[in-house]
Amino acid sequence: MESLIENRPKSGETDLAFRRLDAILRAYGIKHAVVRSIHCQRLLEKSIEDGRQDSDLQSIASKLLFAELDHGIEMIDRAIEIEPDERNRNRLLVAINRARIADNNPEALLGLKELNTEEARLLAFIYRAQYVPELKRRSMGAPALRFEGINGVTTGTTQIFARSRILLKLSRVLGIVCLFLIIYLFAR
Amino acid sequence: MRNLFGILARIIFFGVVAIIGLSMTLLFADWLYRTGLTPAKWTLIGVYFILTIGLALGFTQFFVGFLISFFRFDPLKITKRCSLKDAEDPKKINDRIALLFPIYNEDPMRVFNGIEVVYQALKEAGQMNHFTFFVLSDSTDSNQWIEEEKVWLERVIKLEAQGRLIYRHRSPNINQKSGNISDFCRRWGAHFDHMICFDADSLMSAECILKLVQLIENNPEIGIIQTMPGLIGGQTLFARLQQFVNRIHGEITGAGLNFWQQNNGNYWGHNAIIRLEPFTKHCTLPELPGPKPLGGRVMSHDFVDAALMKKAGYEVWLAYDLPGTYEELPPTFLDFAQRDRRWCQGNLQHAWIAFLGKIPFINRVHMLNGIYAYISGPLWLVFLSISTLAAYSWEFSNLTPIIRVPLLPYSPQSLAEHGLVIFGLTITMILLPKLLTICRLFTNTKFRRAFGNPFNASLSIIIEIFIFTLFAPTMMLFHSAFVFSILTGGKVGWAAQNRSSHTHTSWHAAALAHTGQTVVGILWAVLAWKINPMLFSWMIPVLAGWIFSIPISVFTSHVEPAEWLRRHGLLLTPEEINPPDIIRSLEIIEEEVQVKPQPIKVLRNDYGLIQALLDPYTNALHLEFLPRRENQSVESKERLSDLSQKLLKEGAPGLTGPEKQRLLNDHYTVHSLHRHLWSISEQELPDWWQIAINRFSRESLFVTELGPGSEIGYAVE
Repeated sequence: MESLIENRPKSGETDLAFRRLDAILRAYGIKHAVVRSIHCQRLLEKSIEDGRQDSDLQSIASKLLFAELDHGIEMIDRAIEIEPDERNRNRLLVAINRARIADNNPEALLGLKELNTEEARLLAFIYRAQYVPELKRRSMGAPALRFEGINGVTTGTTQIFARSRILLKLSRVLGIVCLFLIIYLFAR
Repeated sequence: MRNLFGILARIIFFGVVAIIGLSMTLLFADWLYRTGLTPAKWTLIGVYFILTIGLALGFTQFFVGFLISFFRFDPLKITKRCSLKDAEDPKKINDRIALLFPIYNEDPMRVFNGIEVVYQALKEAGQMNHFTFFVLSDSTDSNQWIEEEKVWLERVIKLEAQGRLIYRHRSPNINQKSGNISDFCRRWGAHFDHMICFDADSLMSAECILKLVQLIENNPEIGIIQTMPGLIGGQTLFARLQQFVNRIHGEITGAGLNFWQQNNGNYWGHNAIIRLEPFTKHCTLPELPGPKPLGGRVMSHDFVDAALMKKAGYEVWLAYDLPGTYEELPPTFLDFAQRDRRWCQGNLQHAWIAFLGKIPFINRVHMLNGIYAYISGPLWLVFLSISTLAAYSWEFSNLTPIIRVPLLPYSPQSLAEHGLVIFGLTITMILLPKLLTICRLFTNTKFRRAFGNPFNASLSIIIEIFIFTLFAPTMMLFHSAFVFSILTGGKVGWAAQNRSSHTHTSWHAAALAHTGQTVVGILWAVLAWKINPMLFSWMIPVLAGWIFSIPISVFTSHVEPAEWLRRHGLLLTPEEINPPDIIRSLEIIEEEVQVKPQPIKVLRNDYGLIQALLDPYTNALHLEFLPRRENQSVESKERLSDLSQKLLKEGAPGLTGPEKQRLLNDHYTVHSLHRHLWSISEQELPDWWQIAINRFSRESLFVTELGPGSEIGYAVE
């Protein structure tokens, strides 16, 4: 605590770092403010002890927290006993959110405590139930872009309308000519 | 026997169309001949012939449809092939069916609400094992994209639909919707026998889906069965008018259409079942010759798909009498016109195939009919222009007309009477179908009951005739502008657009879109009055539509007049009088779903990106959908790194839409930005990111600012 109070209070950096840690923990779903506060304080003290005087406290504290989160997620990953080839950090995070681990057992998310059996079973169930779309191509053969249906059209008409670009550009002029023609027809 | 009847039906139908079209044209030509034929009058005859053939086709189709509905006898309809009772037997379905929902920047809530309703309906019918839902997103708006992923997960959990409800985002969205569908066919097509295509706003009941599946399963010669979706959900006056017209005249039109197209029907792009194997094999869209906008990729792929399917030897049917199939519609006239601009281009593109493609004759008719729908606008304009100019030229020539004796034996002797007969017959072809529907209202009990009070329904028909008469001239000018612009390679556009029924067309937006038409109307009115006040009075319906196009457009975009009419029992549809279960379920879900308020203004355009980068769980979910690109080029990595730096330095408003999409599409960047944003010191971040993190942390991203103070010190716009 002492280190917290003594650390550059005028710059307000401790407050900023505390706020940042609190925001990250909240983003990860730890809703209880007191719990967040306890962990923020702990992490902040550790950051100050670890950090140098000239380094950015917010950055050090955030990195420390992310290291703990990574460790926690790794521990959870091991606890739910997933086959190595099925392991997927992102899918696990989505499952953690659905199982409300951050709210019910925040210490497990931070790697400070093991998941209890019930939580591990629930999480494993959710994890396995999550369907990940198979994006690999399994097809009866992607059709090539051929002019199967109207073969004759494209070959024939490309030749016939080879000058269509010019015709299209001239169409405005043609429109005006037509207009004058109509006026002429009625004026004569 | 069926084939013989079908051939006979087509001969009779097209024979009647030809007789009506030719006799009307001859009568008109005879009328013009009596005052001497000039090149201008020959032009008028040619234009009138094309327009009358189109009118005759529509009229005959409706008349035949009316007779079928009146006598309730149609041996040509596809639903005759299997009874609805059979569809209730679960054992009857064996095939695997994919339900496709291709979406593009649509409201994710509405899309997934519809999906949920269909999913629940099929689950209750005990048929879920045969169906897999695919949401195929082509969204380019990062907000919609991220929201789609979140709502997808939410619904998968809610419906316990793991492995049954699949979401896929595609970037870049090559070839729009047709590319989206063909991407599905390539990736997953082999796993399914049929696919049912939905639009973002379409809805189908379980009974309808099961019936479609059963029809296609039991008839291997069928390639596509298109249903006739009823319009629902209209709130504004314009939408409710369209919805009413669709519901009251729709079935008769469908019966008439089916009478001549039979097994050579059309595909409308959604609410249809398609046999996948021949679709993948034969329906590859051709690249059209010539430059854009008429050349290049086929925009309206559905007609071409149907033609290719038929050409490959498979039947294409319209199940016009199959209930339980719905879609929503544009809320305002301007939205409708904007959609028509896109369709116009797509239909004009079909000219290549219609005139030069080796496709079945009836498919050619479908395409020509589609082209006619848009060409008729400029043709009517040419017709009116030449007629007015002819009157002007004659009025000021000071010549006395020498009236010849008519050539045709049945033409009236008086020139005025002759003209009135032509006018009367033309108006009859336009208005008689409306009278036939009123007649059906009073003679068909089931139909009458569906619409409640027949007197109210008849009055509603008169209201729709009146309002659509005012709309028609404006639409004619819109279509003329669209066609001219497309043929000259230009673009037609206007600024503001309303998308929701809750926000009506503003006077500013209406003025931007309709000022030209108003000016044309005023000038034409002055000219007509100067030529002859009688000509002016004959042209009042057309002139009024143009002159009052701005107030009409604004007025019909409001909900209040529509509500007033609804309260008085007018413009009511069967779905409103007695809502089917599927619509009731959708309404219940929409009421249950909590609508989030709009995010604060400064973050409104990028709340999806903020959540994807700051929220660890949204970030993880988004990463799950992104492919890991191991072999990225150095240039690509550098470009992404530059974009990341730009995002960090300037905030999301500093990036363009495609830049944001590119960043959000890269696995490594999305992952590293999440860490970086949370680890970087607050002082190093620009104001925009500080506001974003602050709002995100306080969970107040979606709270509308209460006063000017909430945005102090920051001006992005």
